[in-house]
Amino acid sequence: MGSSTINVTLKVWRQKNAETKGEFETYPINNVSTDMSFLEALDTVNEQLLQQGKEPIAFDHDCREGICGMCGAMVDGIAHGPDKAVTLCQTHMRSFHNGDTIVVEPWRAKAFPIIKDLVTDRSAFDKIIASGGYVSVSTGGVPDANAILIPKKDADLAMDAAACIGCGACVASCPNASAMLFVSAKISHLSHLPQGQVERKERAKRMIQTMDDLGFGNCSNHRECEAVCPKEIKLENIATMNREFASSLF
Amino acid sequence: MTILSSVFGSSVGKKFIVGITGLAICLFVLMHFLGNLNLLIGKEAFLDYAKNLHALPGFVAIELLFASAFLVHIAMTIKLIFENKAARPVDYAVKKSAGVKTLGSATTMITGIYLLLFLVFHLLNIKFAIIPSIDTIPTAIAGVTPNVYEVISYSFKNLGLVLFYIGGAVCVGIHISHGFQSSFQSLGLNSPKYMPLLRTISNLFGVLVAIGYTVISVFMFIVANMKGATL
Repeated sequence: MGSSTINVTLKVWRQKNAETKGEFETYPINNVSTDMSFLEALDTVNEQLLQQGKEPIAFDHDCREGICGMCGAMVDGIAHGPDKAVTLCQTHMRSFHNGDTIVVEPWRAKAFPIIKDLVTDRSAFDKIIASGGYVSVSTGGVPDANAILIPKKDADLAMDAAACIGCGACVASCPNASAMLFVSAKISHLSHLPQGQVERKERAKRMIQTMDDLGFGNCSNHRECEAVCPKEIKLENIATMNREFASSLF
Repeated sequence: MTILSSVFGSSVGKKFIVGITGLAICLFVLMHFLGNLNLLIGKEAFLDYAKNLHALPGFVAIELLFASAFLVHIAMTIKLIFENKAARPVDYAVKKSAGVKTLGSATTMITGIYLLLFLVFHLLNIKFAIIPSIDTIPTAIAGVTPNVYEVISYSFKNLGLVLFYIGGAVCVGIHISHGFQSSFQSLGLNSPKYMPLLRTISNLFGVLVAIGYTVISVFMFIVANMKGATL
């Protein structure tokens, strides 16, 4: 694929802090390489802003390899941008066209308050994990392969669920700001493994309770979460979580 | 904490309640539709059906059970709408679907509100014969208590009412197209193997009741307005 350049206009949400009211600001950027990642395009804008003596756009990022879960924003109304199964750092400018105006907004949910510009406080996810997303049995060092026998099907299901990087796109894209895809991935991951059996019932109860207490919305099966998830976490995990909840009642 | 308070107090539990009551309502809608097909056969067939239905053992108990399913479904979904709104106090300036939005999923709330209004009117119209007043029906004027077929025929002379009923038919079809398959997911009965089939069944179910009820409404409009129609 040949590299080319495009001119785009970024309309970015700017908000000084949680207390102040934010607004959109418009930044035209010219000669953007289509090989650039979206975050590199934001870097370009920030360099221009710094040269002008203005405050750069604050946004979360870390690995820029699509594996850490730090980055994320709503790009033209879709979490992580138009491409399937990628994080914002792996969204590239070749996904846009010359002359496009691209609207960039932070995740919006009561449980994810805005810290600044595109940066939101996602510690709600940490609180959910702390309430039950762990195993308390001593698993020792790395066991020999096949020392603990786990059926291939269960290992695959657990591994697929464990791929969740906790970026928050599921909450951001859900019409109800529900965190069920995230919570279900964590519950499903551990419930498929023998190490996760000890706290299985308590885990489902506690994590769902914490999720509710933190003010996330309710799932109404719109499937937007699954469609935007950079790790392609499946909706079946929510069905698994629902079954785990049902069995925790008895 | 009792099981009941755990269910009602949890987001997952609330999904169960909406799912179970939703499936009960789906069953009711299907049976109600199949029964109403008797209207297409004629007055005698429909009145016979109505008589036999009411003579079923435990009819009142079953009716109350379905009525409770409707009430709980409506109350719970209204509660969820407010909770969900509170979960995103500031909306997006631009929000698009990532390509999975269906007519049913995108309009659940709108069709739900229409259906609530429809349900109230439908009960006042046919079940309790209050709107329009039963006393205005020709047989009542003649001193005979009108039967349910006469109540329907008299009401369905009105084009506005028929259009409102067709609106109800379309809304219930669209609502079911999302709701039926969604209930299975909510109850944890989801499998990647059967979900595509279940979605197809859900859509077909929606189309069936939307078209079916529309046909019955149009048919009754024609019959009621035919010259010399016997009410």
